[in-house]
Amino acid sequence: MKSIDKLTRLTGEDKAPKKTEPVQPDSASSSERQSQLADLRGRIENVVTRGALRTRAAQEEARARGNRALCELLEGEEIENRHGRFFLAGGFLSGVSRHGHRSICEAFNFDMTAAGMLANNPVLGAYHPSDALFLDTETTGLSGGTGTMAFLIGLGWFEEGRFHIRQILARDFGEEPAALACLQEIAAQKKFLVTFNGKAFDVNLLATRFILNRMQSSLHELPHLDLLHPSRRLLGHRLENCRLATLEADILGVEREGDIPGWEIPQRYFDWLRRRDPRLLADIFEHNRLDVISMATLTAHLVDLLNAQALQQHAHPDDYLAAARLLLKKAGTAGVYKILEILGENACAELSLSSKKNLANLCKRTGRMDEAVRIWRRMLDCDPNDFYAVTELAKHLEHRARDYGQAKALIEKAMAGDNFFSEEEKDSLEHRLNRLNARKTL
Amino acid sequence: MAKLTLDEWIARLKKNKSFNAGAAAVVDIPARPGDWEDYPSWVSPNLRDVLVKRGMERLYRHQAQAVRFIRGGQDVVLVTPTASGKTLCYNLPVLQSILDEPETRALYLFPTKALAQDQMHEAHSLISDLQADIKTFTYDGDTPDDARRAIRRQGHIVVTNPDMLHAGILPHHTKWQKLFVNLKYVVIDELHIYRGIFGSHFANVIRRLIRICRFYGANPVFICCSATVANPREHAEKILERDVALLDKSGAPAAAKTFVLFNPPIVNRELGIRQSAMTPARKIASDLIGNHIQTIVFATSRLNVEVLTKYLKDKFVKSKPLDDHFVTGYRGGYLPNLRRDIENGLRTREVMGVISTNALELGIDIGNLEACIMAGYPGSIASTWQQAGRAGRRTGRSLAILIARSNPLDQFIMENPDYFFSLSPEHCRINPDNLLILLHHIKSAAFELPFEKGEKFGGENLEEFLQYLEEKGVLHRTDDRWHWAAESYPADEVSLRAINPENVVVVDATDAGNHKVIAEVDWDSAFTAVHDEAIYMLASEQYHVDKLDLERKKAYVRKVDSDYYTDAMTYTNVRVIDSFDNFRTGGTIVEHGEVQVVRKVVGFKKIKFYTSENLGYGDVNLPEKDMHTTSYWFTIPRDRLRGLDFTPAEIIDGLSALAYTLQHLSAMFLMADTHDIDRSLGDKSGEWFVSQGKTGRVITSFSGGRPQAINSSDAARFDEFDPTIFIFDSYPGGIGFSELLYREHANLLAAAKSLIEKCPCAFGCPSCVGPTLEVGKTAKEIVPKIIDLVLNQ
Repeated sequence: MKSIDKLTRLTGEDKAPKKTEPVQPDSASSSERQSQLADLRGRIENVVTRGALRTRAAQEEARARGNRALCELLEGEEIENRHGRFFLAGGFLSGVSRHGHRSICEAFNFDMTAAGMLANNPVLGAYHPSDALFLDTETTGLSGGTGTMAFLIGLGWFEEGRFHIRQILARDFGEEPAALACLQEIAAQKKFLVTFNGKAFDVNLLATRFILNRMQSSLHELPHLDLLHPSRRLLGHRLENCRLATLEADILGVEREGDIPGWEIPQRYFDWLRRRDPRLLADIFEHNRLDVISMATLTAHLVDLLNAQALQQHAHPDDYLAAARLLLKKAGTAGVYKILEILGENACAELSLSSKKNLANLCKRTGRMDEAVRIWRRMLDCDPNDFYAVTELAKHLEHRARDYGQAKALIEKAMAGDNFFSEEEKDSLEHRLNRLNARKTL
Repeated sequence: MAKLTLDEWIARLKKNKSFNAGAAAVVDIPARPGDWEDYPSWVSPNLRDVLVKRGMERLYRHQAQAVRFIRGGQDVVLVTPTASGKTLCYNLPVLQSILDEPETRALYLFPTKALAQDQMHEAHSLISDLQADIKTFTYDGDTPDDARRAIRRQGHIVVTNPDMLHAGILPHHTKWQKLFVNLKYVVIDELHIYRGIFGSHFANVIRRLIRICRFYGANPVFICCSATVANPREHAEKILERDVALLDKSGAPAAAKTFVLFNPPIVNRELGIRQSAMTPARKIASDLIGNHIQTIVFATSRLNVEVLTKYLKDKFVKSKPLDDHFVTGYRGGYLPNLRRDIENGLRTREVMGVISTNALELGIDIGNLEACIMAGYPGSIASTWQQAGRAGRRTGRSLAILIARSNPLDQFIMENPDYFFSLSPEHCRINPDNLLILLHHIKSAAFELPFEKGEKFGGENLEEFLQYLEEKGVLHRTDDRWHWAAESYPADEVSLRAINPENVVVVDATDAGNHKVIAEVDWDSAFTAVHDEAIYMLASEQYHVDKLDLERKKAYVRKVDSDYYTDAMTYTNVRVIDSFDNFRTGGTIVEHGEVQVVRKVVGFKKIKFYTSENLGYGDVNLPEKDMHTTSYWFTIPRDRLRGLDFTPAEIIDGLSALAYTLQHLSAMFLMADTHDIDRSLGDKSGEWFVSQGKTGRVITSFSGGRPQAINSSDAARFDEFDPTIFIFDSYPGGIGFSELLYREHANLLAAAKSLIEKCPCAFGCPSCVGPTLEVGKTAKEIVPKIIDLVLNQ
């Protein structure tokens, strides 16, 4: 008996669906019926599954037909290189095209020093935005590992005022080497990568595919701006999650209609392999294309936040606060001033309590004491017993303004009032008060 | 009271009357001198100096031979006892190679994380003494993410376990490019562990490993270490699918050992019941521990470990608390921190007594225990010597006591000590081409690297499998390659160790707001250990299982203080699917082939602590477990049985008894583990079967589609089927035991007859035909007559 037949019996595929009770093929008629049923089931299964296994010639024919239809449906062509053939779709967006709030020309010339800060890699400061390669892949699974292929590689870059897009498709597993070669050719001409979660996923996966195909690649050595991390840092405070789709909708103003959900993509590709209907892939191409463009405008937006140049209606004061804190860490106070200018007097009123604290601290650390004091006073207007504001203002009055009287009055008022100070906080204020009293007598 | 040394204790024991009455054998194995050889010339001076400073002036002869083979590129399997310096056999050539060529890489495989960590310490200290830049790392489930990248790139020696290799390394082999390109050595320790189902999986993981190595152009030398088994070379060659050199003569000196076989006295002659092995185990252990003699006690089940631990803890807590005496249990189900604490306590001698299942059989170095008590035969001779080897690795004399339980196998050993001491240990059997197992690994291998036409993987026709997987939609064929074409991750679908990959987590819900995970139980054991209403014991604390949630794989328990523990009752029903071969003898048809086995936990007994009284029964409602496997069986026509002068009920009892005896003897014939086979008595079509119910024999019929117990007074119905005794493989797909038993049919039955006739009990006992409460008083009389019938004598 063939091993496969033994196997299907072990897995229970050759008989009725598993019941929880043991089968009783005792009487002759029942066992005959069993075998008839099994036979019928087998024949049905044959029809359903063996449909996929046609003769070689038929398969070839289907494949060729599918490829032709693909070229017609999506604007692209079959390319051949020394590794084989693949499908390439491409085009560009002109400077005046809009993507969400922004037009392409507005996204183009983003500041590279700021980009370097976002990437945590100052090397980028020496490059130009047109040296960027925006990259996003669509894969056959999310688990990573050597059994996952990046069947569609979406690329984008700025060139002479336009945003160029290329989408490399391996129409079957055998086309992967050719597709990867094309990717490597394009990447060789660029100086850095921009991705969304590429550090954890896309670039690792592509590195794996190159190794499996025994091909060399310099992709994983390129400097890499992964937008996920700075997005989380600057915008995470007001987003439900940090997925690109969310960022797109909430921040970039891009609306997608009928976008294919990410989890459906792998199965679509497998269906394409079997049925060769290009309509199965159309949604994926569009999804991927929009992802690539969004990464470009997102980059520009994040850079603008750092440079205090974001369009007012698309930037929230807390975004700026987050940007300012990032700048403080990386670049010192200069850049922070610009942001603080933008935030200005009025912005303060809209901020939450914790944001007010952040802002006040920023002012303090960049030497803008007047503003800091103003903020603390405003906080005390709202809540005269706010421990943070009381302490900071008292410190200022004591050490900088040298107005001990006011400082003392401030603390006394707070302690006498309807406060919720913890034991430690009370101790701290008392200590301060004692010191002030000591000074006053001098 | 003065404390006795072990020598004094043994001397006193030999004078004890009741001991002498029960001792089936007392053997003093003399110490063995060593056999040495000089270090080979290729060992660099600083490495040799480091070893000499540790007391190794020269190498043992077997070590010298091993490193010679390995250096020459020959795969080896080393079979030498514990404490014979096996680790140096591989550490020496590996370290030397790394010193010669710093890019060299090695992979060390240990069956458990615990063992891996232990061995890493040893290698580490060698390296630090060497002051060389050699990095060793453990890579397992606990390794933090940021450490993983460093290990992949820089680790010279990567230490891991088969599960991690299977699910974590091989499916991500491109990340390990540096390791694979430079891989020169693969060390597989405790090779004998890889048998049965685990071994069959493991052999396939090695096939995948070798395949990946080939992709990167590597051809490492395999170094295997095994405990004493009957077929180490055959086993190694089956796993590696390459020629392997065998080294089995140890040059290491061995300490003197006193080995005792002890049979507890018969306490009920009529029923033929012996005193439980736990009683002398308890007494001897507490005597030894009381004398500050560090002792390990092995019990045959987790339940017994817990019960014995409780008894011993009670004893030492009740008497004056002596702070340097501490008794603890040790089980695989304990969480890692607890296990580490215990192992450390053994090393520092804070822990004087440890009770364990076979977890400590493995080579974890826990210092020099002096005495080892085995409460019940561990199931194989190899395991027995390994367990006995836990005592006296370094000290001058050690003691090992094997206490028999009331079952045919243990009793056979007591009756035939020469058989035991003549050292014919068991065979390691695996079936890497078991279809279900092979299929899983072909999927995993396809995920790792596409298969090409003409490739071989396993003994079956690979292309047939690939086509099957293509039809299933899991692989996609392009020209002459098969690519993985599914979203799933095949390594996650199969666990190497269990039939069902997931463990059930035991959650302590005593404190309503604060649930804690206290242990894990594997899926199969969960049905018998944590069913609803079970008493689950952990570190001798009792927990009542309030609810077993199978879907979520959680067992919710509550701490209790009960005076009883529970023991689950199961039934097994077997139905023939296909007969591969048959012959007739004495009117019976003897066959072997494929069967479907259905198992169900039906209830449990409540057993009182200390008195072992049966306090009652409880019902359990759990789904059946269903599997296909291979079996040997024989059918006796009822006409012939009618010719015997007994009632039908007595005949059924006799047949049950015969099945009992055969199951236990089969383990011995196969030189396999008793857990590897199981039995059933019924009708070939699965319509009737016989099992042990709450109050006696139960015959269950499936004619209505549902199981129904037949009234035992309804004697006429018994007569309607030709009874069949099945002895089958415990693992789905089968490991290959049944064909062997089929061939040994006549010998097996003759041995059964001999055992029963020689047994000193009156009417039958657990040592021959089974407890008379279960098989009835006439079983002992009937069984030999049935055997005669079957053998046509």
